[in-house]
Amino acid sequence: MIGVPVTAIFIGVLLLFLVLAVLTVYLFAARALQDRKSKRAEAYLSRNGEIWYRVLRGFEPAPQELVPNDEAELAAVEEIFRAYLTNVTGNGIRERVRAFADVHLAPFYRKKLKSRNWSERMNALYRIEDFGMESLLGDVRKLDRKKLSEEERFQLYLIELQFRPDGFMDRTAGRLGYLSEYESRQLFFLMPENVFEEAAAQFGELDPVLKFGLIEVLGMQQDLMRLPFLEGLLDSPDPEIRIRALRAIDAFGIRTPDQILERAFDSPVWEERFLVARMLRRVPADEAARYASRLRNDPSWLVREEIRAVLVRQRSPEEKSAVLR
Amino acid sequence: MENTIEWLMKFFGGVIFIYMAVVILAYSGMFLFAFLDLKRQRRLDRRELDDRFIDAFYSKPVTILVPAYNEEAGVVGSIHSLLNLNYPQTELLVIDDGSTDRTAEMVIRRFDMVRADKPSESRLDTRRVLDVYRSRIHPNLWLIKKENGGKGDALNVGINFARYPYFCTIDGDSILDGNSLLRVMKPIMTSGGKVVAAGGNVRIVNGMAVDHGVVSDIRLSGRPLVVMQVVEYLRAFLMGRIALSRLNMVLIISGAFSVFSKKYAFEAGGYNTETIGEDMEMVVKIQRLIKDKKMDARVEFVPDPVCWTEAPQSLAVLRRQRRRWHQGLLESLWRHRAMTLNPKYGTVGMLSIPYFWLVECLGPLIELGGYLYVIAAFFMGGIYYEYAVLLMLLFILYGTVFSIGSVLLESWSLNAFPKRRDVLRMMALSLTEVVWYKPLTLFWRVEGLVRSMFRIRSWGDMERVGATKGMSE
Repeated sequence: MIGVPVTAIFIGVLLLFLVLAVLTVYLFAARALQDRKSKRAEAYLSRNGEIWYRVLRGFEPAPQELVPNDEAELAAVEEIFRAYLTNVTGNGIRERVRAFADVHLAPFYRKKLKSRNWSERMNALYRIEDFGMESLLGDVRKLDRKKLSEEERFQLYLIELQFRPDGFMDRTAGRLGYLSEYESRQLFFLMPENVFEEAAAQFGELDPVLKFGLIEVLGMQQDLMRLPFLEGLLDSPDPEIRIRALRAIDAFGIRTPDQILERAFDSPVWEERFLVARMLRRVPADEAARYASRLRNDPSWLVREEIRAVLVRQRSPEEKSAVLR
Repeated sequence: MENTIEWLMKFFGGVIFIYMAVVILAYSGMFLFAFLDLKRQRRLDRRELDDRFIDAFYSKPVTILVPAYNEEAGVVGSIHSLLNLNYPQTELLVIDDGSTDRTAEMVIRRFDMVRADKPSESRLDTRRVLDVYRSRIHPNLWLIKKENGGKGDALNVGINFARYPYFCTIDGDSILDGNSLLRVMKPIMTSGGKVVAAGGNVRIVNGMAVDHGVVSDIRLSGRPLVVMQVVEYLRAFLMGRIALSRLNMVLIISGAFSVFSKKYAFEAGGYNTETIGEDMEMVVKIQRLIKDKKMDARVEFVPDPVCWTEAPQSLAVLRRQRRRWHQGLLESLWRHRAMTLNPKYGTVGMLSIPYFWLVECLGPLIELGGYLYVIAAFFMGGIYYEYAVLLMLLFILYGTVFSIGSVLLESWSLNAFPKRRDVLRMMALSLTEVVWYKPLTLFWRVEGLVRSMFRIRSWGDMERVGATKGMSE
């Protein structure tokens, strides 16, 4: 009775071991191929490293021998471009990378964009953005019609922003609500000035995540011309907007105007009181002490702690140790 | 009498057979999940992502908590590795949990520390903090000396002192790869705060060369006991956790390397200081909190950030560790038994917790029973002989085949052990797993069950030997 399953399972286990043996052979063969590919890439690098230096510094045009013939050589060129773009500044290098990539690397990435493997498509999208391959914009836009992962779609927006910034917000704002705050910040950080202005003008209609991203980037840019815009946001009924606007104003690193301090001191939201307490670091000692007395018994521990830190910072060493005790 | 024995043998044979079939099916499903997930990401150039996240403006600051109790062999190496992390904004709190060796002394001397003040909240009750030191070489490195209260208590002190909204827990003997923190934080950053806890992949460091807190040469340990643990870790992390993470059913992320939102940790009441498995307990509490308060939040496991940790090298220490782990597992499951098969807790309550009860907690009892059954059946001969063969085949399928499969999957997707010889050694040892390592660990886990039932508790301190070149420097 039990003989059948025993035999069946025995054969099954044997077959599984056979499959594992075949997979092992496949794995080692794939590794050997990968090793060979790495060696070819290394050979390309040692053969052409010097030439690439002269080409990218603009001392000579790119000779035909630099054009990669296969995936291994493409990987080597990618390494060189990544190294130069990361470590050397200058529009000249970026422009020469773009020119070479647009002509000689685009066919490789066009093929990768059609790959069924998500990683391959993502890598291609990263490279198109990094190397500025505008010639592939049409291919990238074709992807937009397909079902894409969120990561791919975000990369598509970054590429669109880089190559077709005009009217970017009108074309995409309605579709950006799914972004994370991290992505939203990245998007606004990379926006050219005119697109950023366009976005700020539409602030009221933006999705919350875009509003937050825009405010954070304003804080990072520390452009005093934009300070009134942030101050205006302190009237928002949304406490999250007010908190972020205060944080952005704090990031400017300047003495905060009194009217901002005054209105936030009495806020029922502890985060707002905490941020003004932090802003007291840049207020003269006597004024800070006056303001601090209003928050010294604040119900929030973090606010009290911040006030204590502000007072300690402004005292003599003897007084400091007394306060700390 | 004979009829009764026959009935009993058939009944237990049937129970064990059904259990094994269910477990093999569940593992096959999880294996398939892991394969598809790793296949999707296999060729991704992760450096691109690392480069994007490294900018302080995009990332979130993290407080790293290193609880240390008698970790003089590894704590300095561990701190070096954490100081080498590629992450824009961190503070590093080493919490000396009343060590009786020179842990604190070594940290103070090595990093030129002086007494300092650091603000702390007191939202979590803890044992008394004795002293706080700050490094003059690395101003973001702190040492907090406290009365002994266990790992959970030390972590709670760290959470009280943490300045940033996320904290990362690292064991005092563990070493992180340079980009590990960036990678484990990725789902937290990109999810817009929906991922409230994330854990990375823990690997065994024994036998590797470590230079100033960085694993400089990957070598597989020469000890079969350690190699078997390497395979076991690969299997657990790659198979179980990837699938559970995709389905938002994670109940365990290793305390050796995990990140939590401080807000959620506070709300969950911090680490439990009474339980043995405080890391699992914390995750279960957070999952429970998420469901109780109907929050849009999740816990994730991330396979590519790697934390290296020291594994037991002797049977005695391994036995204590496994006993302790199992006691912790049972305690957590028992404490949260109201979640079991409770639809309010979604897939966690309906699938994850029952899986942990059946497979992880009670499974060893059934499997060990299976081994005893096989021995008994061999002696009884006749039809039972066939039962024994059938069960042995299932054990091989369940143990050896999945272990070798995991080694191959890891090698294909993440390639942690680049040397072919190491891969072959792991596979060869996996072939022997069913006859020595598996029964031993099953026995120890059942011991843990029994000790739990009799409320026998001991922490079974891990004896740190600095089992790698350069780690104890």
